[in-house]
Amino acid sequence: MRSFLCDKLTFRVGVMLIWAGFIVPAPAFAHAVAGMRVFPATLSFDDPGVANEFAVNDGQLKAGGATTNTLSLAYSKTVTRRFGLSVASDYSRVRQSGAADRHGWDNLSVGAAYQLFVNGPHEAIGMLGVSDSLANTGSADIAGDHSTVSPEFAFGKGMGDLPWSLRYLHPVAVTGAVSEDIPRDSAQPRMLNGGLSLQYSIPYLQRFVKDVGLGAPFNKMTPIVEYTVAKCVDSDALCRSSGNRATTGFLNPGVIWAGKYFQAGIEAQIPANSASGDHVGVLAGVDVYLDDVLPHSLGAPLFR
Amino acid sequence: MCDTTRTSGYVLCLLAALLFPCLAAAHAFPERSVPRVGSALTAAPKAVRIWFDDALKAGPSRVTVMDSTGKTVSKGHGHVTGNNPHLLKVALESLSPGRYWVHWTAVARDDGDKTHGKFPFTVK
Repeated sequence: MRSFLCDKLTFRVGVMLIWAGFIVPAPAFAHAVAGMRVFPATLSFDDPGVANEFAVNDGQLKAGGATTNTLSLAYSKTVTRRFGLSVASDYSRVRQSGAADRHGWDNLSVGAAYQLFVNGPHEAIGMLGVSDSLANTGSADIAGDHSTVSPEFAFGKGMGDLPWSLRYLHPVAVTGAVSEDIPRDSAQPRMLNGGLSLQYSIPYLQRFVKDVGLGAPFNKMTPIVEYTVAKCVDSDALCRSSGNRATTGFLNPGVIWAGKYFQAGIEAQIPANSASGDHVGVLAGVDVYLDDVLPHSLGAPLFR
Repeated sequence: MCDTTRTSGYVLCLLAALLFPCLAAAHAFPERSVPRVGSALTAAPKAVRIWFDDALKAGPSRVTVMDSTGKTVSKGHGHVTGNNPHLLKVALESLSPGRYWVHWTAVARDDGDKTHGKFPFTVK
């Protein structure tokens, strides 16, 4: 009954969001752009833009004697300039000595995102989204047998509005995202996820502050540090029994190169505590900007 | 039943999105400029040129230059050059020593997406 009601609620919210996307007048933006600021897509959590993108991320982590390789695929499509839909899934391979390898697709995740605000002069942007991992759409070895709804808020803020005397801080930006995983199975715990990035945009420096003469490929690079955290917010008993009692997190220093048609990034994944792992992992990703690659078909919103 | 309906709905939405061709959504940003961003010049420039990474729409794309008091020192609002749609250019009045701000608006030729920005240069 609870599941049925949740489904009905999700459907109604989805319909409302779609109509909101259709009727609200929208300014022009596609990637996460706010005024003079372009926010590149972060590798470990959602960026604050609603865009037409195809993202491929590959990561490797070692924890508790297990090595996990994950290939993530995500496709985002704008319906209007402010409202978009997405579909995503991960292919994982888990290797652990003394146990058989496990591999396969995780559950398919579908989502909707709405561009809540864009403030050009202050380089501020906010996005509200919700995603739903669909039960039993992945491999039995990897995927759970329950659906999980995850509402999310993501934001970005550039420092271009600082006084000119602090001009070399203008290329600095922060982005962040907060989401909660709400499983439909009451035996699974609710998880709170957070992400925060600190970035320094060399393109911004050379376009708007000072052309320091950096050429390709450095002129399109953004050094970045991302931090992610996941905390169980359910009852202590449920957090403990599900193996999620300890808060986990990663500090990911790296660099993102963003061109006209795609971006590529690579980051180290440093466990923030012993519960997060005992080895430094690596995360790499490519985001194809369909807005620019296929501006008249896949890269265009349905309604403008 | 409900899961099936919901999944079908998502799939239909995505299919419609994939199959429905529409307008573009590209943004134009500067690749380089003369004078260079933040440069200090010993001789006053006669014009400002900005090369963009996308072709620009001639009418609404513009560039103006102001001095530190906000007075316009460019001759008009500039224009996209005829033989290079990536180049925005404006002629300048005779500049005295001081800091100047270049304000540009770029409208992508393909879809009309607008970007804008500003950068300084100094005449010694």
